Amino acid sequence: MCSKAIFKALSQLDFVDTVKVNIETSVYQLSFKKDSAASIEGIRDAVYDAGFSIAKLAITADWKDQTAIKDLVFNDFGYQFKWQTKTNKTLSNKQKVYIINKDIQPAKGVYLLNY
Amino acid sequence: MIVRSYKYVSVCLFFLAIVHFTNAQELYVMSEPASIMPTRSIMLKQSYQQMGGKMNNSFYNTQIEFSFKKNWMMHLGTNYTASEVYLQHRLYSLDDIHAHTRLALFARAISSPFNPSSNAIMMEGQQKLWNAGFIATRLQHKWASSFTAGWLHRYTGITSYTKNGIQYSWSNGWLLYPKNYNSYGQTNLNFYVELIGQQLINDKAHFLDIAPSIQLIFNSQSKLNLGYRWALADNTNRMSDRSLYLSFDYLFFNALPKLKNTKK
Repeated sequence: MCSKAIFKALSQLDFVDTVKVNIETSVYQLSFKKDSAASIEGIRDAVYDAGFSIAKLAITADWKDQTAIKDLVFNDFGYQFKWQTKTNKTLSNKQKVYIINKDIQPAKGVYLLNY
Repeated sequence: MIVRSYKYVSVCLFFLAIVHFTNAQELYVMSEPASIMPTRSIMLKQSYQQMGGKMNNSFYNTQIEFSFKKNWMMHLGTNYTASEVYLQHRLYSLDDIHAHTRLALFARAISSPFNPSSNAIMMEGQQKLWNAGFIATRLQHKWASSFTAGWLHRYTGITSYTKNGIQYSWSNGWLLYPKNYNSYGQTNLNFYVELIGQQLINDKAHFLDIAPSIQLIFNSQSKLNLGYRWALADNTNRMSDRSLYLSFDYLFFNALPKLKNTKK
């Protein structure tokens, strides 16, 4: 009942195309509609409004062999990100990276990333 | 700090949200957990209660429950003679995977035309009263435990009886089925044991009831509850000291329009 509330809340976001859920592991995989901007706050608030919180939020994207450089700040998807990595790493295609801010709340407008 | 601004060509973009999700074995039959129902959802609930003891009357209760704002929910109910309004606010939430701790405050008011002769404060619509207190709930994997305590004040009843009391409950729930939850279509079976007590103020009268119940959750959206409550200890002169409880409810997700400023 609770998991379905999260599923319904995520499915209703206007930029979300599909939601695949693994109920046992509490993992929700979201894909997005073409030409629509995905909103990190929208995802976070949908889960919070359903009465729960996000333990981890991962982004899988085509990183085009970019390098994750410690303390590098960059802009993408309309957000400002900062790598919080110990070492530099060339990202693979479809590399999964994690937003590590507590409660997925940006620190001074910056989302911290690790892989 | 190195700042660069460049645009990745994001051919594919997926988000993976790993949520602090817990199962539903805290949806107690006789009491409320500290958790709040999903924001903007509405639940319709119909219950039947057959009282036993000195009085054998029965109640049909129709209730609408909704969450109009994050961390707030309200119930409005009637048994077609008495009516109830209930408000709950979640104060604190500490989430983990398959575990959480939550605290909430609640208040209820019951309006009733009845004036029974009972020193115990009756909360099933027999007396006009208000009640307020707190709820603490801990869920750990397939078990959930919740403690509720509140102050009771009634307006009706024989004047020699005390107007005030303390109500408390300790509820425990276990998810029995399914063992592996992988589809919203799976029916859940929960088992609950709840202890419900009342201590009157300036009066040595008290009672402590036990209420085992079972709950079936269908399609993650509706519940069928069946419970029986009877006295373990009782030195009050209340009219009913046991009851059979049957209810069915249905949850409508995202049924209310979104309010502004509902963000965390």
